[in-house]
Amino acid sequence: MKTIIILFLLTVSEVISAQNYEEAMQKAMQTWQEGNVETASAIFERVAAVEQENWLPDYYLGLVNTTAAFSTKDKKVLEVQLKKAETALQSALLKTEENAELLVLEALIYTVKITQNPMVNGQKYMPKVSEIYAKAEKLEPKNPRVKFEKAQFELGGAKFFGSDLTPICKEIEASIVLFDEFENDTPFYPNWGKDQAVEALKSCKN
Amino acid sequence: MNFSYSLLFFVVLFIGKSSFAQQEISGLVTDKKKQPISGANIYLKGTYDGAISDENGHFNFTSEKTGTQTLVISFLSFETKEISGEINSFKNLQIQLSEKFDALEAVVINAGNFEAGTTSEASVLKPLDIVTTAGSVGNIITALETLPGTQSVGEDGRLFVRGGDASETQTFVDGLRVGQPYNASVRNIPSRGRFSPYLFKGMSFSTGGYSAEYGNALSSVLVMDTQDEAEEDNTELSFMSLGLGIGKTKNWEKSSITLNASYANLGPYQSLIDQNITFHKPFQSIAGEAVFRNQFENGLLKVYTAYDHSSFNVEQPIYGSTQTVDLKNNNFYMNSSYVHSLGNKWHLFGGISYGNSKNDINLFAEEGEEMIDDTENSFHLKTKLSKRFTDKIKLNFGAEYFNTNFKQSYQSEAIEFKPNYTSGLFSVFTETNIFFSQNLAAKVGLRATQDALLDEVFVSPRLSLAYKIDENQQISTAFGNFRQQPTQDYLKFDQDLIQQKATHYILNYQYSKASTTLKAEAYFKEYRDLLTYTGDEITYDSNFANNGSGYAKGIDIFWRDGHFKNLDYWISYSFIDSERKYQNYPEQVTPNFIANHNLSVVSKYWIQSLRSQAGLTYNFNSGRPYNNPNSSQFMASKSKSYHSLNFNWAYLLNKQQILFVSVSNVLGTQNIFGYEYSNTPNAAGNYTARAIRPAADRFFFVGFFWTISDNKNRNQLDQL
Repeated sequence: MKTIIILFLLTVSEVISAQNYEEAMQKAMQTWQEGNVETASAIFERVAAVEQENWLPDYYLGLVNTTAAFSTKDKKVLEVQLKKAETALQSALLKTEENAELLVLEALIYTVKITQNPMVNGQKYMPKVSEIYAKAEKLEPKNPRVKFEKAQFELGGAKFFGSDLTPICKEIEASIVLFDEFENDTPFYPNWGKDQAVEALKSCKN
Repeated sequence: MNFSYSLLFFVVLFIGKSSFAQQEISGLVTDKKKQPISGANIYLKGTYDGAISDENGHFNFTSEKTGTQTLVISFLSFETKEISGEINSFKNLQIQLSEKFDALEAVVINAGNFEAGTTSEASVLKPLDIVTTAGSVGNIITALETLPGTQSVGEDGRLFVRGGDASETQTFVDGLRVGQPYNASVRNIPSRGRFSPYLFKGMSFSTGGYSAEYGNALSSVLVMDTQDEAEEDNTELSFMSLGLGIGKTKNWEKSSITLNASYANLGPYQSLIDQNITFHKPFQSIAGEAVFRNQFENGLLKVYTAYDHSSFNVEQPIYGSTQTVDLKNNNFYMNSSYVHSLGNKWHLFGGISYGNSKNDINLFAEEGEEMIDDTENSFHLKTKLSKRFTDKIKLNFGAEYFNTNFKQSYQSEAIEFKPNYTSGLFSVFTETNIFFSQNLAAKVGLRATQDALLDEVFVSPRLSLAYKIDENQQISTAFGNFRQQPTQDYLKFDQDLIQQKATHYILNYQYSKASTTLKAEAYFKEYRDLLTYTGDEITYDSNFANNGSGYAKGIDIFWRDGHFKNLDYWISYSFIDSERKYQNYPEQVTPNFIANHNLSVVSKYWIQSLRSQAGLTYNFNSGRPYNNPNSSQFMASKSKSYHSLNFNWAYLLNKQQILFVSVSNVLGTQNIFGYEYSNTPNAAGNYTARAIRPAADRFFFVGFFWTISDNKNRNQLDQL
């Protein structure tokens, strides 16, 4: 009897905790969607501190700060965001093996650096970013975010050199198919990017 | 069963109920100066309950937890704080966070030092700058001459730093000495730096007060670090107005190899452009280099080897008549270093470098023929241990051994001699870096050397201090004793000499904010025991002594600003006052390589629509002294000032092809470096003068660079 009670209690508390995790993540996602980057980042940080085996909160902590950094003008804020993103990425890599999603995050962090100071960081990080995408593609050839972000990165270079955009647009198109095929049952597994890809394809054809 | 179910139900209800008892947690987060911190993350440890502080530093949130809990307050550049206690006591908390020690934000010890690095905020030049500076044409030394504290001496081409002559600077690659950092040359034909800038990830150029790790240099050290890894597999082709080059890089999992070969011939160029100097045989060189890198589990091995053969034959006016100089040089250099991480923040460095240089010089003049063959073998062995005790204390110590063997064979119709010497210098050094706080740091070093050839043992102290005034400003100072063995010109004839000495005192102020850097440095330098000789030039029967002395003092200013879109520029200005008595000077005077005022303005402009980078560099120095034997005063005449406006253009044809054009001294200013006089007076009793001028007033360079690689994003822009 006692065992049953204890077992049951354990299950209950687990359910509560799982609910808490989901609630917290849900809340963070919602806050992020509302545009409150700082609060969303703080919630992901708290969740990441509790979840010792789960890399997703760290991933989102990194992603929130990286995507925000793309449009940050204030140099100080930018430094804080980049530092948070880099720390989060490192923390995630302690919890899981290197995967395509984390590689995309890493590439995006470098891309922020390139866009913020192309003169200095361009030549330094461009080869690095290409290298990361190549690695990610090898690891998960069907990952839509890898395909899309890689094409997106190449698009910038191609526009700069005025070269033919058609092959890159084809890659973006292919990524949309992959977006539709992509499946992962883990709650909160990265599932973003399709909207951006559709948008990018539109502007690509112009 | 029913009973148990209802019990369980009760338990679950109870759990649910207790969780409704909400506790409010609130407080204020500030730094040590009571300034509110916004954006700090405050939460109960092990839970998701928390909030962030608002712009006034306030926070509050509720939690369903009870009992003893730990409250965590974390904010990026601050130490994370934890408070344990009854949850109901977490109300109106006053929380002070202390700043984390952050090496990147901390004061930098940089008196006397210029970094051209990748990450360091202290770096004033980026590696790319070396190659895109107009007028440098890929020569590291010319690019460094746009920094304050250097003197550009056009007829020599080597580095002259703060009143020191070219022999007073030592060059190190991966911590190991380079015996022959310049191409072989003869008087009044400038030599070039031997290394291509593409090899290096960073450089540190010290104009004084440098670390105890480096010795046998009176004025300056240039420390260059090679790349740790090759970027990717590719083939690089270069077609230049002066020659051809091919490079190949191959990567494996843990290792990589780069091979380069080049051939240069100035003949076609010199036949197109009029020269002030007659070359019977143009400058020609054939060179090859190989770089191998291997990553071990806890270590990194780098091996660099290079060989080149160069030759030319030139007719030169000398002392009123002319002579023909024929030079052939063979140079081999090998540099191998290994860094190993021993764990517990101990690092071990070990390295060896070997240089072999052979010169075969033949002089043909009216008085007869002279044949000079010399061979220099130089070894450098070094080992170093470093340990980071905390973020604030770092210790370095090590030992090194320099061995130089020099042999010469001199033959003329009248005389024949074969001077030679072998020198061994053994040194130990230790240096500690201490951060007393984020704003105050010191570097204390000591170097002890035993000179086997000159039979001397001595100790040289080095000391630097730096203080950060505020976020954007800092001051630093450096003091040190420096010694150097006499050069081979002296040692080959006389070994009964002692080491030359210099003492440096440096005061540095730096302002940096975003992309703006201002660096101002004042220095005083005292020379003792400089080498002197008797007679018109150094020969076997001169009398040698350490009777020389001198001083140098001045101000160096560097300004760099990146506020303008697509435009990058820097300005260097140096004022120097220096006199010395050395060589065969009858009295203490300002030597002929010193110009009191030096100015460089370097600019680079990126033109997006043309996919081009255009560069303009202006160099100015006031006149330099020269000795006119027709005047009774020694070294009392001054040449006119030097001006040069240089231009370059890099055009990206596509991702893999670059066209590069460069013109030095666009305006064709007729620069005169100084004058040389005949040995004997003419019939009227006057010594006749001859102006020392560059080989040509303008210098043109056209190159086409092509990278063939799998990766289409790469080009050779970083190679220009």
